[in-house]
Amino acid sequence: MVGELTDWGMIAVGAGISMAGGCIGTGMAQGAIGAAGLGVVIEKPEKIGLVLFFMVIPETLLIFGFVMSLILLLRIFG
Amino acid sequence: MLRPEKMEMIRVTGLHRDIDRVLDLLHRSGCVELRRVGEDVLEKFEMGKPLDIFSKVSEQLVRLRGIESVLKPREVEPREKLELDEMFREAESLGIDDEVREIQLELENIRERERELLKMSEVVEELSVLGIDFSVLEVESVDSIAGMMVESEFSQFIDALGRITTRFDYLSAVKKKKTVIFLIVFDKKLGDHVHKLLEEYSHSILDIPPIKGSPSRVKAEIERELAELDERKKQIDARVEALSDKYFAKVATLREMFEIEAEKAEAPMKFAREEHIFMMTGWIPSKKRRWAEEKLNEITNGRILVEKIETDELPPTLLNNPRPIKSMEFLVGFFSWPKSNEWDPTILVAITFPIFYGMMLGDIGYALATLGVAVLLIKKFGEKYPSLRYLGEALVITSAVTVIFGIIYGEFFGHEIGHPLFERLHRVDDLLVITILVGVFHVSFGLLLGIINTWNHKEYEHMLSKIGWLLILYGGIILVYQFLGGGSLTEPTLSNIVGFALVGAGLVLELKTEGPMSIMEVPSLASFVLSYTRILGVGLVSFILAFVLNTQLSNALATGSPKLIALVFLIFIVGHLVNFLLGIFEPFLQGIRLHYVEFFSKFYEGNGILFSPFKHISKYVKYGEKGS
Repeated sequence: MVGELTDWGMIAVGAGISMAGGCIGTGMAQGAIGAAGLGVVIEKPEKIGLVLFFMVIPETLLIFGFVMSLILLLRIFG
Repeated sequence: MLRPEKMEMIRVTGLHRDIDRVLDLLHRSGCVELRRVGEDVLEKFEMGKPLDIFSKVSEQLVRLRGIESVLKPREVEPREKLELDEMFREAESLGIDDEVREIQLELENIRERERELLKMSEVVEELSVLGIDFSVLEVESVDSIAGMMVESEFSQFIDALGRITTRFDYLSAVKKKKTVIFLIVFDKKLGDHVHKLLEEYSHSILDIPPIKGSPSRVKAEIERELAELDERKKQIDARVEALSDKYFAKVATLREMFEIEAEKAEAPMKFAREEHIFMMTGWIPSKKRRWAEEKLNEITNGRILVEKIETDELPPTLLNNPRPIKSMEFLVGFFSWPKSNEWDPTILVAITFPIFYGMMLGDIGYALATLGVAVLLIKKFGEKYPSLRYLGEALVITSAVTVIFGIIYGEFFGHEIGHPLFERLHRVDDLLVITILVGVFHVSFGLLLGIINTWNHKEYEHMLSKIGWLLILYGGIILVYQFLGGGSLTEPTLSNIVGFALVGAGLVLELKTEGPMSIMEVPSLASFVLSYTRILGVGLVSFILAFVLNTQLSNALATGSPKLIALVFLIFIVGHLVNFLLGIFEPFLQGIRLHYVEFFSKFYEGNGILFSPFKHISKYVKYGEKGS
């Protein structure tokens, strides 16, 4: 039996999509940066801090997704 | 603390007869980073050369390193450094060179023979499938080749060989992956033809062992010889142990003493020289200059000139942090060391990093476990690996702060205990606001430091740009607060007017100083602040994971099924272990990231080069400054 999709259900799905979008975006960006970064670290191990710096920048997308899902789940805008 | 040590470039001019004493004082005190003298000086002076003693010192150094490489390390009681002539006397009286050389040679021969025998053993193993006695191959008129080849190619090879001659015979056996092990016996006179033909097929040769008998006999012979070699190695080992007991401490300390002398003797290569005088330049911490000047005058009876010289070159960075904060320096260096003319952010990182870490982990149980790991790192590895000691010390501070947050959140391995001051699972919305406010504070503090930095460097345009970002940030906060509170942004209320005025003024400053493209950067300011919500996210993940594990165990216990309890208990242990490791790793990485990306980008340039003093880091020799 298929239940009716309630408002709360729609909100939960929205929060999930928001989180998933952020994760996928971050993953795609970090995959490319990480591969290039590893190349740098193999050549110059002392650059690991700088590589880490570039590696973590795309996490902003994930944070946007996270904040958006919190806004939805906590019903910050009513 | 907030600034690296102030440095000065000095030039020291003295007489050659004093150079030994000058070098000794500077090397022992480690207060100067020597630099090659400038080209302007070299127009009037010659380039310096090593001290005359250098070649003799290096000769001894090479010799002692050679001896030490054969000996086995022993505990060494550090001893005072000897004078140069005493060092030579002691080194020459060692008298173990011949014995060490003999041991070295013998060990090399044994290892070589072992390699040969092991290779031979592999070949015998391969050829044993043919089941022949190797002594039958020792007929003067015939030659033999053993090897491996792909099965199909081997049959082609035999056909081709059959077309050349009939005076040959062969044995073959198929190994795995359709490879053939073969042994061909042929008339010695046909050797050239067979080898030439063999080259046309891809193959590998197996060297037939020069031992007579069946494969099993040959193998036994090899094993017997290997056991013999092993016995000889044991005898040599006993000799090495005895020699090490007697001589290691002496050799190691002497080796280090000669290293010290070699460093001093080659230093003048960076100096300038004339017939009677030498001239050196280097960086020295300002607070040490007067001391160095007085000491140099004292040891040379005033026959020395120490001048401070002006230069455009940026000095090396010498950080100046007290002990507990020093352990956090590696977090800054991991990113990039500060330049000598900018803020040293170590103390700021030492304050905010443990807070972020504690806010994220916030569990008394995990904090105590982390403390245990930290103590283990310091006690077990701290002496040998300074970087692990610093990591351990940093973890001690962060776990102490985590305990405080654990008490505030009332969490112990995911259990809610007591009457917490702040239950984060139930007050996610409040924690969201708190983390954003932490972000606002941290980002604006970074901008403030950037403003001071640019003011000091007289980069006024950049300073105005940073002021602009600060205005946009605070104007934006006022407007967002108004909007979230349900207020209208179109009404001319005081908060709206102030908010729009700040944002407007900030945008004008950005347009003036950074150009129109800077407007594109406005959303990134929001992302910098929102980035701090990861403190909430990482913390909740850790807590919820522990909470789920605990709940599952309680549920399993309620069922009373021993099998289920055992299974869930296993998951519980592994889960908490994983959560604990994540609990160390994630807050560490995310906490430091907030500093590197969100905080440092507002004021920090980095790319500084650390002060590298002219000194020796002693291990076995008591060698340091006299009266510094």
